Amino acid sequence: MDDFTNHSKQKRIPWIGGDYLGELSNSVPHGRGILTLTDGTRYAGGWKEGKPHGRGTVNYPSGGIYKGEIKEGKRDGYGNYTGPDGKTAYGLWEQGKFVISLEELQRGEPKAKLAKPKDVIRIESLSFVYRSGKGIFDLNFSVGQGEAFGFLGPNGAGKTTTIRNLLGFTRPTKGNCLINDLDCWRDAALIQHDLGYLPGEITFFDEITGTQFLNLIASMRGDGEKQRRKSLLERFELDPTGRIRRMSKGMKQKLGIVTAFMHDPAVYVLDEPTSGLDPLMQNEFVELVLEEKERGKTFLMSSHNFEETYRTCDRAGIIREGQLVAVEDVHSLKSSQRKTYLVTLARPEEIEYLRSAGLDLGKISKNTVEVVVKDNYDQFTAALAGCRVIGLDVVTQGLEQLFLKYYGQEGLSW
Amino acid sequence: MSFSLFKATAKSNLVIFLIFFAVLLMYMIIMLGMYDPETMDAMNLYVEALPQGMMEAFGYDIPVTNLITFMAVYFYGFLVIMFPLIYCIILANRLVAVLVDRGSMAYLLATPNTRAKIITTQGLYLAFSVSLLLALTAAIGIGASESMFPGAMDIPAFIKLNLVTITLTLAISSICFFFSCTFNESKFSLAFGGGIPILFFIINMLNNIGGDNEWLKYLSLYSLFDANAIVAGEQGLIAVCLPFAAITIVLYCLGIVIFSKRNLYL
Repeated sequence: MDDFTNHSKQKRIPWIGGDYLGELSNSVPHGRGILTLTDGTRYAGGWKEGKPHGRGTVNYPSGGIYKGEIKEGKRDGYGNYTGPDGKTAYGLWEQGKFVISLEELQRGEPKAKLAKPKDVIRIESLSFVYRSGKGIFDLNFSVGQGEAFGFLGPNGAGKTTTIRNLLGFTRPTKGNCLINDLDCWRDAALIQHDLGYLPGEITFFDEITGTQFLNLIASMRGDGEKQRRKSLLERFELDPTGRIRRMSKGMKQKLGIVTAFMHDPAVYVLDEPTSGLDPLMQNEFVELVLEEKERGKTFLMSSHNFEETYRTCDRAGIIREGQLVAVEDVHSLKSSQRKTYLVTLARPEEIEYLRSAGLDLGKISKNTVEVVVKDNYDQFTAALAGCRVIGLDVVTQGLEQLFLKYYGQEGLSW
Repeated sequence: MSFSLFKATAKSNLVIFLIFFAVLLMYMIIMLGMYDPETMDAMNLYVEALPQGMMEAFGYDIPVTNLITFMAVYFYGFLVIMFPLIYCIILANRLVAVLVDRGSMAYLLATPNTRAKIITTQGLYLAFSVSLLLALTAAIGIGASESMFPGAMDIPAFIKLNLVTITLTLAISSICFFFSCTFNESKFSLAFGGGIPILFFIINMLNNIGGDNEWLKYLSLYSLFDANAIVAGEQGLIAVCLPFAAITIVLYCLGIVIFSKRNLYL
């Protein structure tokens, strides 16, 4: 028992029948760690003078799970509690008592009682500059609890660079980023307790099977829970028993999604989550995100596809050459996006009619014309009604064309 | 150290371990089979058939009188240096640099384990498997020589020889590990982590030839290792092992520190 008097970091010691893994001072757990108590209660989070303190997760032996703020051992602050009956309530807790649910909160009931939900992800003047001079420059944004934030930009704009800083893979050149008030560089390992991460490039350990991989990650998390993993595998129709090397790109992507979601984290950072998924599975993914959001989870998702961001996110940030050019509500982004339709008319003369109707026309070839539509769909459909339309196609465009407003003219040359 | 990761690492590198173990065993049995306590003629004929320069480069120019000297000269002087060297280079690169280069390290770092813990686990596996490879080879060597030539092997000297070989190989592994932790791309890790030990090895061979190249020995770690001198009791165990152990500890620790602090482009 001499170990109690040591200031030893990351040391597993038996404590009143439980296992404590973390920093010790003055004979009692003090710092951050995981501890199983004699009654089977399991705490993962901050500790102060032998009592749970700060953000953490409590697994009650009766079957309930609480995730949120803990003060002097009591649930306090915003959090998510799943009772032994399996019902989950998300909301405010004070001194271990449930004060108000998310539903009540959304109905605008006793709002005065509540402070603004805290920002789970905070990016403050974040810069990371590569030797080439490229990078991200002075990014500022935050993602609130229960919010889904889309991070939009073409390839090479700096999305992955930002995510690397959030995961603590790289140290910011300037500024900092925080998740749950913890510094992403300094406290990287601790943040991972409650973070689900999906890398943009799917590279696993090729020589093992999907099941072995999931088991490895789960055991490195100290997470024995298999039920959620099982239901995720069923949901995405993924059979993980084969070797990862033999898996298709889509299967690997699904495996990555299961890895990010299986430990039921409170915060998700997903780098282009739907790449490689077929449309059916993309829908399944969108539904999963919406369900998780209902449960109070926070998301940061990068994408170069606005439609996908629009379906899942509340707000989106647009990044261009390492600079954040806009942070807006997805609905207002939707209305500012420019879409190009390829209209084929029965008679070429009707093109002039469309022009006279005030539409913004692009390239014309024979009886086919490109029409650029922003938020003037009424005008567009009314004008079309006056012609004999024999073909209508949407032109697939990159983000730069969709958001000319933010990308400017030079953006088109990319 | 993460036990789960250690198990997974051991499992996914088991095949390489078995291949190198099999190769070492094969050579050891062949070498033992060549030993003839009555007449050393057969072996001497074989050696004399080699060009003088090659004989010296391999360190085969030492008169062999008994089994332990025979093993020290023909097996530990060359083969037991070369194969574990290749093993260290391949394994150290696979354990860190390849994972970083290919990006799979991201999944390990996305678990609540510090970088230091993860990389220490990989380093421990490298040190463990290198030691195990040589220790198992030595154990089977004792068994085989006892059954083929009962009583002929000087076992204490053989164990001493193996202890020095293990510490030497650990020092080599620490060089490979250090560079594997340092570079983002596995080609650089291989170029330095593999290049430097191989250079040591080549210098050692040149040095054995002698001549005007005497100064070269200061450039190679292998110059500190003289299998024949250890067997003959001319070199003390601790005096030989100490520099190797120091290099091992310093480079493993440096590798862990550098890996914990550097930017990873995962």
